[in-house]
Amino acid sequence: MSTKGNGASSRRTRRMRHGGASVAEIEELYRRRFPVFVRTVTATLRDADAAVDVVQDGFALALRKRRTFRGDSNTEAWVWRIVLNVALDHARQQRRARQLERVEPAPAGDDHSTIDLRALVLALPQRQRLILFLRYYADLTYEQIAEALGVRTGTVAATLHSAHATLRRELEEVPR
Amino acid sequence: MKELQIVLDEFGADARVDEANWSDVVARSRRATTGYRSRRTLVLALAAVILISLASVAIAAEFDLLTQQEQFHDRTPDDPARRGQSVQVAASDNWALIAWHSEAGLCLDFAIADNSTFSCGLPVRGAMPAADANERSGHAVAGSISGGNLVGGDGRATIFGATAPEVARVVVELANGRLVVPHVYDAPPNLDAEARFFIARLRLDELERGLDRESPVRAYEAYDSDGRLIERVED
Repeated sequence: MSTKGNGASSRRTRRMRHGGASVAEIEELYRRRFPVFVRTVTATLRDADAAVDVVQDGFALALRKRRTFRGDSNTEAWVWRIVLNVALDHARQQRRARQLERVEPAPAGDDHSTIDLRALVLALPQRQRLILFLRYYADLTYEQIAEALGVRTGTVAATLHSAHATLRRELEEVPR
Repeated sequence: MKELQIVLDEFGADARVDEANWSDVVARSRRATTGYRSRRTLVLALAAVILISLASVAIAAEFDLLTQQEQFHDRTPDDPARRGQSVQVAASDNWALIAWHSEAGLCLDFAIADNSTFSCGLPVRGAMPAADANERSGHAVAGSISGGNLVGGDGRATIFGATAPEVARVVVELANGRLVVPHVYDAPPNLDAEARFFIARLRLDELERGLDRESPVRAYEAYDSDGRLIERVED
């Protein structure tokens, strides 16, 4: 007579995260990184008043959508994505995005003062500018930036390189 | 570039980094949630209404065609006497394939609103009366085709029939050589039959290209689940 076991002895407990971010997790991120979020959004919108509002709304939205968060990605990158989307929506509503795109670099011949470089940064394409800000203000890794913006990591590296190259070229073309 | 660092510092210089307020975030999320839940509730309610409407239409259509066919056969003296209830085998929004037992064996109706065609005593294993089954071995497949009066509004003719229980696939060879593979259905549990059933709806103009004799069907072929031909029945 042969017997068959029920497999209980070989059963392995497997813990899996089925997704979702906890309130505590989001709150901890908010308390730790609020200044970084606000600074980045302020630079993006060029509006300090709106930036706080956007960050508050962005985190509120993250709280609301926390159950949709996939556990296999980075929580901070996921929140960044939400906050940046709120920021860009706000910019669109206020027509500030168009205004930012229209800023032209200062004409060649001027000294490459700080003001000129500001204009050059503002004249960068939106994605280049966002990646630059996320890298500089938030110190996000390429992978986190990629998740936040929904692009590939290679695209982040290439875009950042392109932004730096553009700024460097423009500065070098300005006679000293 | 040191200049770039200076500029970026300036961009974020007026950021209000001291205005963190988690309670405000929570309050905003609740306000948003209220609206979200309202929208979600509305969407769910609308979806429920649509589903209930569709289900009602489907149930009504099934009931109507079943009732239509039972009343039709009961009122027609020459039709075989029905034994038990009619059962729907397959249906769409404007037709139904209905099976029922009769004194002449298992019958199949293809019905649309206010019209139908039917076939009784299909000589197929699992569909034959017990008395006949003892006398004949029966075929693996047998079919019928709807008349031209049944094309209805969708311009299609219908080939339908029954198969032996072991048949997994039916291929219908039309008179013009075209092969049609109808969908095969199991017998509904409340039919009390071992047979399976098939139906294919065809564009009549496609069918008519092969009409060089009375029946547009040249043969029915029955295959088992391994793809082996069980039987080819010339029509």
